[in-house]
Amino acid sequence: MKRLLIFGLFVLCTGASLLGFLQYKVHRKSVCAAWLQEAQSAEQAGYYADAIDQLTLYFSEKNCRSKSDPGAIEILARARPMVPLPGGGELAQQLSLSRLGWRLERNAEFQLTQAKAALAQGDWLSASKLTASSSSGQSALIRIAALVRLKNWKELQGFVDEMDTMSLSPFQNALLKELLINSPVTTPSQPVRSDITSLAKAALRGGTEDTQSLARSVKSLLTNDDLTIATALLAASGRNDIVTSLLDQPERPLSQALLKRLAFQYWSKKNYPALTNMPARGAETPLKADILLMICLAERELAKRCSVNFDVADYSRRYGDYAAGHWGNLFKLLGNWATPAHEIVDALVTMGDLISKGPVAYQLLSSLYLELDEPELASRFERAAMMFGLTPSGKWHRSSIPAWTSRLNEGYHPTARQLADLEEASPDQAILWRLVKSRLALSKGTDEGAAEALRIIRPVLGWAPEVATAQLLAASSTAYFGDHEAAYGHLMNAVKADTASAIAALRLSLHFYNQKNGLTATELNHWWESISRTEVGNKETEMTEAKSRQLLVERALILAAIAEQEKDELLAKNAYRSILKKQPDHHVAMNNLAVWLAKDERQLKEARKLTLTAIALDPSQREYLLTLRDIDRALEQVVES
Amino acid sequence: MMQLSLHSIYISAQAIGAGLLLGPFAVASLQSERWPILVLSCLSIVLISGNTSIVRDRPVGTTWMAPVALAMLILGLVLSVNKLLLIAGILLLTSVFLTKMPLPRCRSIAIIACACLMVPLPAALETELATSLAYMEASMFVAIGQAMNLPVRLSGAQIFFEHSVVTINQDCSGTLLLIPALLGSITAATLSRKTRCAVIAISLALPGVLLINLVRLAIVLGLLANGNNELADEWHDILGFSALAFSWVAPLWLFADLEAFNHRNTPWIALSRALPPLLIGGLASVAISMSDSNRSAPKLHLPTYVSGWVAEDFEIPPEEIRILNADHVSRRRYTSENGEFLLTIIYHGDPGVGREHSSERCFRAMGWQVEKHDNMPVEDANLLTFLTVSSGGHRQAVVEYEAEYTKSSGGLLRIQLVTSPELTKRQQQDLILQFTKKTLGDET
Repeated sequence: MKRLLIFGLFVLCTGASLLGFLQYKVHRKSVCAAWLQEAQSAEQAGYYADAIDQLTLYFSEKNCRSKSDPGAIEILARARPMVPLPGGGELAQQLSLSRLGWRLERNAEFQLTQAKAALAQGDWLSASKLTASSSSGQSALIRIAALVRLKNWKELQGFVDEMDTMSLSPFQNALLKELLINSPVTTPSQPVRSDITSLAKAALRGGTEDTQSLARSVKSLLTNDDLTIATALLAASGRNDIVTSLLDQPERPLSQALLKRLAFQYWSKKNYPALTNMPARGAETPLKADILLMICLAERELAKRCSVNFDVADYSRRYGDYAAGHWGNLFKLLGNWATPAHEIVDALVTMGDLISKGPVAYQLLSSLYLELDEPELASRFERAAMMFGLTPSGKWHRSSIPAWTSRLNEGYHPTARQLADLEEASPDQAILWRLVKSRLALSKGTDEGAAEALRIIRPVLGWAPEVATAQLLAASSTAYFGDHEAAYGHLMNAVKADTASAIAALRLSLHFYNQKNGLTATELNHWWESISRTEVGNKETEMTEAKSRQLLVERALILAAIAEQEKDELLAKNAYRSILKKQPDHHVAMNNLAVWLAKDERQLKEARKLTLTAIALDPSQREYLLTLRDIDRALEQVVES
Repeated sequence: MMQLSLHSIYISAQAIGAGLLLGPFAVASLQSERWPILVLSCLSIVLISGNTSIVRDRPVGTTWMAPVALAMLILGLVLSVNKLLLIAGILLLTSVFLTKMPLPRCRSIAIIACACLMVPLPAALETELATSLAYMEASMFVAIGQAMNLPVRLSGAQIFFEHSVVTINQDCSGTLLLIPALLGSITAATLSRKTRCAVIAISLALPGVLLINLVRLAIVLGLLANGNNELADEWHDILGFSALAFSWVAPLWLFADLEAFNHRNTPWIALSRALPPLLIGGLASVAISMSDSNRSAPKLHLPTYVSGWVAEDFEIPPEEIRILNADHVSRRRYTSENGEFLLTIIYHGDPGVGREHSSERCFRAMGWQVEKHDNMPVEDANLLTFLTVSSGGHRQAVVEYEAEYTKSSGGLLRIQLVTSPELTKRQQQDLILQFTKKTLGDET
């Protein structure tokens, strides 16, 4: 009986365990399905980061892997580009995703993005191929435009015949007709209002008609897809007024892309009141941060304040922590009028890829750098902003660069405290404090000091290679460690950037030579010649050939004089030979070289030859006769011995 | 009389030998976090030897122990395996103990086992064990979390909870708990009245450790999830020591018959006679090892500048220094226009110890996931190892240069390069060889 009881208990335990295990498996499956469902819902509602979180859970679990994987990848591929990662990591992930799922590659929505890029590059063949499997209006128009450009009439006719023109909007139908107007392809005709046809014409071919009133009459008839196509075409041809008119529909919920285009139009026209009213208008989802930035700056222009409502938690769920954190910090800084300029620059620079496509951020950076007395960096961002037609403007922020910095060029040596104050009042990406700090570190004359100097100044070489002082400091640091190849490169860069730095470069190279840590006389001579040649090359327009040669000879003479003073035989010989190469009749160089050569009995014959030539060129020089006498005596002694 | 004297000399010689072999180890253990293990081992031995329950088992002979210890000593010296020397010392010590106090076979074996558990496992085995335990515990956590519909996921031994990551590394895996649990189980098994209880006590050691450590980790993870990082660090250690004691006490409390223990049963006086030679041996070897360690490690300096790469000193986390247990370790961060990397130079005076601390093992011990790519011999006897390690979504390439350092007394030198995984293997190799040449010149 006891054994039976134990056996029964054993069977019961085993059965319960088995059931529990099966129940657990079922539960795991339901968890997987729930994650996928939540990801889908979140992505559709614009909560891309939430969707990615759910999908990460889904993909982390081996039990979840099933036939629904391609669907999950599609959601991920849609959500991933919307959630920025540091260093543009989201794009790399997107690329690796596109290699994963075969359904993804054939998905029309993703092909459309690539087709647009191909069209913009003029790659008509790729554009037509990428849109081949799509049925959307935009894809069809891209394909038709590409085939027209390729003059592939046969394929175009086949495509148009198969096309369901009924599914196209009136505006898209009008565009289709306009695209095919000069082609042998025939299309089934759909009745389109004349004003819509005029807009399509204006979008594709331009025109002089009153587009403003045209826009006003048709804008309510266009779908959001139509608006995207029309405004893209009109903006590309520089017809910004009509773009603004088309998008200026306060009651209509527009996509983020269209709102951004509208905000940019307001910003570039300095229509700040319209910008500040944007939060009140209809939108499909809350305004994205780059639009809010324009609104914030417009508010600052108008009322010296920025009160945009940026919901960090909601933004984080939509576009991820990285974007939400950085934008949240920026709006916090901009919200306070007293925020120093350098803090805003630091915030903007650390945002990296988040602002890389934003001309307004470049414009802001350019203005801030001007205020921070960093003209080189200001012009760098100004160039980027000007590509979008924006120039630095406004006095938005306060900066407190100490007054003593203006005396740096006169050789002023700041104290450590002053330097710390300057660093405190400057952004990390700045040139001035780096130049001062690097110079101070280098002056310590230690390994650590030279390494620190190079570490501090190196970023400047990337941001603004035209800053000659930075190049000279880098040359000094690398030369300290005996890396003369790098030092030479930096000296040459300095002279190329600013010919006025040639003298400093020559002096430095002489200093490196005197340090005796590996730079040879031949190399020094070569450096002097190259630096001087580069200097002459940069001044080419203002110097004749004779003057250039004269300068090169003078430089070599200075080097020779230094060598004579230091009794440096090798350097002297090199310098004189260098002079004779440029000016073969320079009798002083000949005589002086002969004197040095005469010290070596193997070179006495060459010395004699040189002296005789020097005497022939200027027989009045008694010195040359004395040199000849010394050489002849030396030759006699050699013969005797 | 003569026979007795020879026996005494034999016992004293064994005690001196044990002292010599175990002295430095005992001192090092008492200075490190292993001291509770030593204390618990001694307590277990006292409890087992004080057991008064009657057992019909013959006492175990001790004559075999000294020759076995000698064989292990020779083997350890020939193969340069320190652990064998420690086991030899333990055998000599237990031989002295069991000679003074003959015990039934099962209790003698239990005492030898408890004494042997004082010796730490070889680093390689400990890392493997710790990694397996960490993976197991992390999986269990995630399974429980997901069953509770929490958004947790697993990657190796790392648990991702929303936007925070927790790594179960060697410190948290509970490897150290295994020893007290085994000590407690062996002691409980010896003190239990029934064989069935003894078997259950032994077999529950591992699951018990897992359970105790899971509870400990759950508390720490809870604190981390709430953002109390400092508090979590504090409780990590407090709970660790508490768990250590608890995993020893729990089997005793559950299965042992503590009434069978009588402290008078332990021959303290007889044992105290063996104490002076043991102490003499121990002190002598500590003195020798101290004078040995006074011979300073070679002065190794990573260069400040190499072909455009500029160095700055970089602090090494104390946890890493502790795991490395090296005679010299320094790290510098190098930057240039082409990027940045970390270079670490590690020197172990004892090559045996050095070999146990490869980058692969150390990264594993710290909870990183390691993918080994290649081993490549360079310059005859030296070795380059290429790894890719990842933790919390962060990946990096690791290249390690391993060489015998002939300039000192034959220590082992490692130069470890940690860089971006985007560099090709060839670029990594060129980089590390360039820096190794500049650092060492012709010294290896």
